[in-house]
Amino acid sequence: MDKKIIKKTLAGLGIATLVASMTLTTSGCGNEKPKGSCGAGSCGKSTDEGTSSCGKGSCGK
Amino acid sequence: MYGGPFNLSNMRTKHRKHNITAIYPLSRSITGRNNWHHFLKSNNVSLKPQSLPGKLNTYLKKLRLPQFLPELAKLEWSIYKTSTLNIKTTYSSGGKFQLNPTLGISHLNWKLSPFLGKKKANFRPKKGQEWILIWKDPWSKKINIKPASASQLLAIKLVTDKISPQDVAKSTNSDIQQIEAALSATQRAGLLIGPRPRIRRNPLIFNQQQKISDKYIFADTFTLQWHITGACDLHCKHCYDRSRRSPLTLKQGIGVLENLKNFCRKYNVHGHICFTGGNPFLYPHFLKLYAEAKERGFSTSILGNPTNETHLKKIIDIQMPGYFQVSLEGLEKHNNIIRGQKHFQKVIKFLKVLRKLHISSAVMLTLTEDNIDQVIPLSEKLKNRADYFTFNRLSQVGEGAKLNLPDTKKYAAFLKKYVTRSKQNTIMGFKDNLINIVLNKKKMPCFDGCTGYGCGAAFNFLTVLPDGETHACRKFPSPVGNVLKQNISEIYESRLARRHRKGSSGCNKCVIRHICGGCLAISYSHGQNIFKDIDPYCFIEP
Repeated sequence: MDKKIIKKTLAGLGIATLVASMTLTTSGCGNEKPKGSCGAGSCGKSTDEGTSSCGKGSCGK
Repeated sequence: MYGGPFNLSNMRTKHRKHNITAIYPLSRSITGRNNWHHFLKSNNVSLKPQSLPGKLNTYLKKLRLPQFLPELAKLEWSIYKTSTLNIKTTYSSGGKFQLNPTLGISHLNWKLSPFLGKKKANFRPKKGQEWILIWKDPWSKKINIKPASASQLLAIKLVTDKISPQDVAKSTNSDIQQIEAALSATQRAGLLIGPRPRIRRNPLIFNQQQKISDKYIFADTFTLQWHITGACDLHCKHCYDRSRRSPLTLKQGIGVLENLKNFCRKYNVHGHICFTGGNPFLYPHFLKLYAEAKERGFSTSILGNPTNETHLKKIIDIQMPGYFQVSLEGLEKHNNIIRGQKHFQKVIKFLKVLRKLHISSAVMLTLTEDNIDQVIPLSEKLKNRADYFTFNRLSQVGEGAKLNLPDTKKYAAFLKKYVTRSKQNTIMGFKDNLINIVLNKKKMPCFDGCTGYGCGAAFNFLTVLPDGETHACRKFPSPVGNVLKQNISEIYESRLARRHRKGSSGCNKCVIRHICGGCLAISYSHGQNIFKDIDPYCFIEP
C-alpha cells in the first residue's frame, strides 16, 4: 500500500489516544518471542518457521 | 502466520487470468455460487477486480447479502495486493525506520479478524471498529494478517507522519522509553524496516564459498542472562556454580539496566533479559527490578524453579514473560535423585499453573550418560503439559565434573533418533548446534542454532552473575568483564569478548558454521583449546 494512503488511512487516529490505549494494553510483551530473544536457545525446528523465535532454552541451568 | 483459505501462491497467476474468485474466496463463499455468477456477469468486474468491494455494496439488498460483505471483500483485496508485492530489504538505509513496503492497512467497521483463516463462511461478525494489518515478513517473505495493536498503529503513524519519539513523549507527557519500545517491537514484528544493527558477525569466520544470509550475520536482539542471585532452594548434583558472590543491591541492579539500555541504543538492538539465579524469586528486589526492566522496554523471560501462583500473577501484572523455563533431569526417579525429593511432581504441577496463567512454558534437561535414554520418554510425558522441551549437553565444570557425558557415537545416534521423533512431538525443540549436522545430512531445513546464530557467546548474548562478573557463556568460565565496573559496550568490544564470539577457528570452513560452531563449554570441559579445536562431539562428515 502506498505510504500516502497509509498516512491518509491513519489520519483520524490521534497520537494521544494511541499512547493512552497503549498504556492500557501493553502490560506485557504478549509472549512476543523475537529471534534469539533469550539469546540462549531456539524453539526452532526449521529456519522456515522463524527459528529461535521463541528464544527458549538456556545455556543450561 | 495466516493460514486461511487464500491460495496466495497462485493468486498472482490467477489474477492475470482475471480469476476473481481466487482473489475473493470468502466473499464468493458467502455470496453463494449462483449469486456470485449473476453479480459478476452483470457487473463485468472481472476486468477490474479492485472495483468489486464497491460494487458489491449496491447489490446487498437485491441479493440479500450480509452488510459486512463489502468490507470483507475490501480486506480480501488488500490481502491479494500484498501477496503480489515483493520485499527485498531487511534493513533501512539512513538510520531511520521505514514502513515495510508490502504493508497494507484496512480500517473496518466490522470485527472480521476472528474469522480470518476460517475455511467456511458461516460467520456472523459483530459491528465495531477494527484495524487489520497485512504484510510480508521481511525475512521469511510469508504473509501476515493480524489485527493492529495501539502500539503498532502508533509506531506506523510516527513513521508516516515523521514524528519523533521525543515529540510524542513531550506532547503526551509519557515516557519516551515506552514510545521507543513500541517502535522497536513493531520493527521486530516486521511492520517497519529498521536500521541495521551494529551487532555483526565477522564474515571471515564463515565458509568463504558460501553466501551467508544477513539473517545470520546481524543480530537484532541482544540477551543478558542475568543471575540476579546465587540463592537457590535446590541443591542439584550437576550445578555449575555454587560459589558465594556478593549480593546485588537494587541500586546496582538498576545501574545494570541503564548500562544495558545504553548498549542497546548504541548498537541499535532490542534488549532481552533472561532473569535467573539461583532462584530469581529468592532475590528480595526481584519484582522491582523486573518492573524497572519493563520500564526500559526490555522483553523478559524467567529461568527458575517452580514458584507459586501469587508470585506469577505479580510478574504478569508487570509484564508477561516471553516464557518461564524450569528444569527436569529425566523421568521422576532419576530427576529426584539429582534435584531432590518430590521435585518432579512439583514441576508437573507448576506446568499446569503456567498453562492456566497463559505463560509459555519450557522444560530444559541437562543431558548426561545417565539420563540420555530418558530424554525421549520424558518429552513424551511432557507432550500435553509443556509448550516446549529441549536438552543440552552437560558442561563438566563445577559440580557437573562429577557426572559423565555419553560417548560421541552414542550421542550422534541419539540426536538422529531425537530428530526423527520430534516430527511427531511438536514440543521437542532443538538447542544443541550439533543437531544441525543431522538435519543437514537428512537434507531437512536446519534450525538457527543454540542462540539463533549458532553459538551466541559474546555475540548476541552475555551472562551476568550477581556480583556483576560477566561471562561469554554461563556453562563454562569465560569471564570478559564486570558490568558493575564497565560499560557493556566496553566489555563487548574487549579482546576477550571478540575471541569468544569468533569461536573456534577449527569450524571456519564448515558448511554449517553460521548455525553451529559446536559448543565452547563442551570443548572447554574436555580440556581443549576453545579457540582452535572443534567440539569433541562433532560428527560432521567432511
